[in-house]
Amino acid sequence: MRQTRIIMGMPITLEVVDAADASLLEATFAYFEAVDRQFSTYKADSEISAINRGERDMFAFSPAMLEVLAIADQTRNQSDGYFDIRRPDGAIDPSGIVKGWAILNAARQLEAAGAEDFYVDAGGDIQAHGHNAQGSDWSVGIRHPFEPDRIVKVLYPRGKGVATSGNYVRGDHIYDPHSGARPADEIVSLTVIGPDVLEADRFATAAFAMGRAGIGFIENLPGFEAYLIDRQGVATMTSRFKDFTS
Amino acid sequence: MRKALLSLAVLAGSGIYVAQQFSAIQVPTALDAIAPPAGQMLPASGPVVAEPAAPAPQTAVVSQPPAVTPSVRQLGRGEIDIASTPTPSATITLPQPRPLDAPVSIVQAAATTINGQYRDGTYQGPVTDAYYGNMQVQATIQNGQLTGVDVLQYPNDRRTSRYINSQALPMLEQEVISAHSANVNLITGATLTSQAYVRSLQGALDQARN
Repeated sequence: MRQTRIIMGMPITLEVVDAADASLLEATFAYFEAVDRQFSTYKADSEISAINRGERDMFAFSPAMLEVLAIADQTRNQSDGYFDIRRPDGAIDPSGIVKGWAILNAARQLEAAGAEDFYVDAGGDIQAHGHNAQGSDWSVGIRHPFEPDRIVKVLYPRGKGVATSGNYVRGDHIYDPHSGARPADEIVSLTVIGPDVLEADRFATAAFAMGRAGIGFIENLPGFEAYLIDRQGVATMTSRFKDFTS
Repeated sequence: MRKALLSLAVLAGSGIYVAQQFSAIQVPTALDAIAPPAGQMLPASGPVVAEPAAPAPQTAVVSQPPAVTPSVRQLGRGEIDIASTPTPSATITLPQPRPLDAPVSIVQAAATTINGQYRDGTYQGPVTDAYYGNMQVQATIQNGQLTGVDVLQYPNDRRTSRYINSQALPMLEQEVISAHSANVNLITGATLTSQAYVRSLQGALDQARN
C-alpha cells in the first residue's frame, strides 16, 4: 500500500508492502503532521516560532526540541560550522535536522509496528527497509537536475539512508555560515548515502554548504558516500559510491 | 540532567543572540557567493561534452530574481529550451545525448492517493514562479487517485559552458551526467524548483477536489 500527502510543504510518500489496511500509514502521516505543528517556522503557533519570538522559557523546551537542537549543535561541530541552524536574520531554523529526524523516527515506528518491507520518502529524502513488492532491493533514482522526468543514476541503498541537498531547497535555508551568504551556486545537487536518513540528510546539508569542497568532506566521513552534480552537468563521486549503484 | 538541559538551553538561547549580533554586523551580499572562481574556466578543448560556442557565462543573481521573460514551452525530446534564462535572452538548443525510450516511470506497486478521492480527469496546476523561470505541472486522476504528474513548463538556467575542475579533487572519479529512463521505486533529489513544483501540484489537486 502506498500513499502520498503534502505535509511540511513537500510530498511525503509511504509504502508498506502487504499492509493489511491504511491505519499504519495514517498513523505515520499523523506523526509528520505533528512534527510540522511543532517545528514549522511557517506556523506562528509552532514551538519553534514561539522560541524565535523569545516567548519560550528555556526549561519549557520540549524533549523533542532539545533533541533536535542537540543534533543541530553536534552537526555544526562536526562540519566545522558549515551546518548552522542560525539564519542570517537571527532566527533559528532546525528544518535541516527535522526532516531527516522525522523520517527516521517514522521508519522506526513502522518497524516497531511490525512492518518489514517499507519506505518513507519525504521530499526525496529516503529511509527504506527490506524489499519492494517484487522482492527486490528498493531502487532509488537520482533525479536529473535539469530534466525533471529523467534520472541520472539508480541507487540500491539496502537499508542505508539517502538524502539530496540542492540550491532549490525550500526556503533557501542552506547558507555558508562563514560568509553569511548562500554558497556558490556552482553545485546544484549533492546526494548522500549514510548509515540512516538522518545522518545522510544532515551531512548532505552541511556538505552542500561547502560547495565543491563538500564532496571531499563526505569522502573523508567513514560510512558515507556521495554524488555531486555541478551546474555544468559534471558529477563527482566518492570512492565507494559505486557500491550502491548495482 | 537538569544541568545538562540548562547548558543546552543556554546554548540554544545564546545561539539566537549570537546570530542576531552576527546579522547586525554582517550584511551578506549575494553576489559575493556566486561569482565563479577565477581561473577555473577551461578552454573548449577540455574534457567536456561538445557544445556549440557558448555565450559569456551568465551570472545568476541570487537575492533579486532577474527579469525573466516567461515563455510557454514544452520540454521537447532531444533539446533543451533555455529561452527563459536571464539576459542575454537567446534561445540555444544544446545537443544532448538522450535515449529514445520513455521517461522515468516509478514502479506502481499500489495506487497513489493524496488526501482522499478526486474527480477523474487531468488538471493543470497554476504556473508558479520557480525563480529561474516558470513551473507548471498537470495531474492525472484515475479512479479518484493521482496516477501521474506531467511537467508542462520547466525553467532551465543551465549554463552554456562547462569545465571540470580537475585540480580540486584529483582522487575522485568524475563523469558527465546523462539522462536515463528506468523503472525505479523512488526518486531522490529534486529539481531547482521543488517548491514551485509542490505549489503547482497542489493547485492541480485543488481543482480535482469536488
